[in-house]
Amino acid sequence: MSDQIKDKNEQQIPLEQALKDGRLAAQLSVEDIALRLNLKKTVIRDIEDSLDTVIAEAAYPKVYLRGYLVNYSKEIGLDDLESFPQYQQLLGPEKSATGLKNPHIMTYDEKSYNKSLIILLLLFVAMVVGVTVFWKTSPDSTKASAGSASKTDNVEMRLPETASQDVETSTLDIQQQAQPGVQIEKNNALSSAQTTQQNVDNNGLEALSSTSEQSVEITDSPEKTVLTEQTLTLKFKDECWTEIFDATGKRLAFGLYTKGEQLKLAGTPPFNLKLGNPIAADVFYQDKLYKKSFRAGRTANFKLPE
Amino acid sequence: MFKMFRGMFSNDLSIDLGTANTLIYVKDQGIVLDEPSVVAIRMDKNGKRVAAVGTAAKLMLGKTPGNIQAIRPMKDGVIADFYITEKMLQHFIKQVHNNSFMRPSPRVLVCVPCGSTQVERRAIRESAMGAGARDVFLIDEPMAAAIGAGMPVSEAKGSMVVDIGGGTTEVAVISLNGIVYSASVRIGGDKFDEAIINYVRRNYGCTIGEITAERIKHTIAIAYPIDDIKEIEVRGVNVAEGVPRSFTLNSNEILEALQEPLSGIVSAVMAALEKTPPELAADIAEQGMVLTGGGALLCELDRLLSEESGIPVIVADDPLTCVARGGGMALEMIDTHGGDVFNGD
Repeated sequence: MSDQIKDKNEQQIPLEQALKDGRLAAQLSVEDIALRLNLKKTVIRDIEDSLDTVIAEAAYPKVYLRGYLVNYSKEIGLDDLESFPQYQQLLGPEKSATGLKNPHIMTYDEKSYNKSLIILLLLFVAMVVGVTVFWKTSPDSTKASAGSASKTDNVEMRLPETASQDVETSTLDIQQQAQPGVQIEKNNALSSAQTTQQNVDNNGLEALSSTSEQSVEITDSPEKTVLTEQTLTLKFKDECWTEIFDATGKRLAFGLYTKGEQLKLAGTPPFNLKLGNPIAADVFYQDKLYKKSFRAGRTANFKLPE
Repeated sequence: MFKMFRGMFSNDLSIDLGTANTLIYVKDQGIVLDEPSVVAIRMDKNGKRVAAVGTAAKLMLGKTPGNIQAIRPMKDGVIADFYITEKMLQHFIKQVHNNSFMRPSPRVLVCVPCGSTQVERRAIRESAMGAGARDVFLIDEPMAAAIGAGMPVSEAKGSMVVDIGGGTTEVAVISLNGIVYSASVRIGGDKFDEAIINYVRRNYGCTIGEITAERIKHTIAIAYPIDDIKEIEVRGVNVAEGVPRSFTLNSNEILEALQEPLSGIVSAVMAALEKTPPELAADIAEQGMVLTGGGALLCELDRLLSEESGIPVIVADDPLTCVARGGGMALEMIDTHGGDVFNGD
């Protein structure tokens, strides 16, 4: 019991006192210690007289002060230097974390969790990239954005232009436009409006506006598109090489037609006609004769309706 | 691009690629790897492949069958075998990363001897890149050691550090984050082992292996005469008889054996002090020099240097890890201070 109390009291001795006591016990002067350690006498005195102040004011860099204390204690045979709190203050924070940390070895669960997390992330990135690419490459998206922006403009701005169009052709168009239940696809608004509105006259406008109020509706779905087919008839008076495409790019006729042959075609207007001998063929668009003077011996390229 | 993505799952590393040991420091985690720089290579029909790395490989040193070769790819602080070094680094980098799914691609700071040539530095850089590093920074070992030891390198005051590694001893005087003087001598722990092996062969007529020599060094070696003499019993093969023999060595014998490498280190330190500008030399004389590296643990080496130079000599706290820790601290400074403390290479 008395030994324990004695030990406890010894532990409470400040480090500077312990060093001084050790030096005196070894019968060494300050000069002797300074000489042995190659230090200035003032350093030894600082350590022995005011170690706390020296530590607090950082009068010497920690690494050096710690080294001086180690060398001093070794010189006088003080073994338990690390037990003094003043010395511990000089140790770096990393010293407190004793021992070498082992490399982290993952458990099976951690590995699976990481894998699934990365796979999920990659899937998400792939999805985002896919959607972006699809949106960029899809022709509908570009038309939709352009069409939606110009849909209203087309209707409002083109109406005055249409007023001066041909009366005969417009009547036909109006009949079709005026049919109940005709739907104009939003996506095709630009192209269909260009073809139909060019031929609409004032009367037609009234009819169109009246029918559009009742039955024309603009939808987003491309599936509801109704393409209006029109007829084209060619009567050949002589041999004529002929090639005809409709608006969708479909080739309706191709080849050499002879005298007396008649060609009846139906397709989406406008039709692109290429006639090798145009004077040898009478062209009827919607059963009406297309009148245009062609030069003999010259190929004719033209569009119907013009 | 993909390397950057992998980099998001990797830790920045500071690697002390030493001749004897490789240490890796990870930010916020400290030293996470301390393994011998040894690789065991197995040679079979399909060519060479790595059999073991680090401690496992070191255990094989001198005890391998014909088809396995235990190699130390670093010699004198620089790469002696490029391919093996790359494999070793690759193994260590992978070992310190949690992510086993994706190959890590960290930013790596490698500590290099200040006396290494441009070719040797390039070899280290290429080796680290080959091991999967995203970016490679090089820092001089004495600078890293000084930072790791806690020396005031940024102050306008001379600080002298002596880093005694496995292959080289680096002496440097640092001030204002820069190296004012540095020297590197190819003397280190390996030379101590070699000196012990030679001494035993010369005086006892026996050969001992590197592992035994290293054990002797750790147990009884001293650099300055002391009263407390230690002894160790070792076994070696008698050269004349060709049979194993047992004999006892003491500290004084090892001190005698180590005279040559020790005098080399003392000479390097004295040369550094001579060549240091007077103002900085005065600072060093007042506050002393700091010893780091595994060689600093050689008993009474600080006293030897103190007696020879007449200035205080301090052994750094945890000298073995100073370089790796200092490299880690320097790595953390990249974003804040730029590459001020780094080597420009």
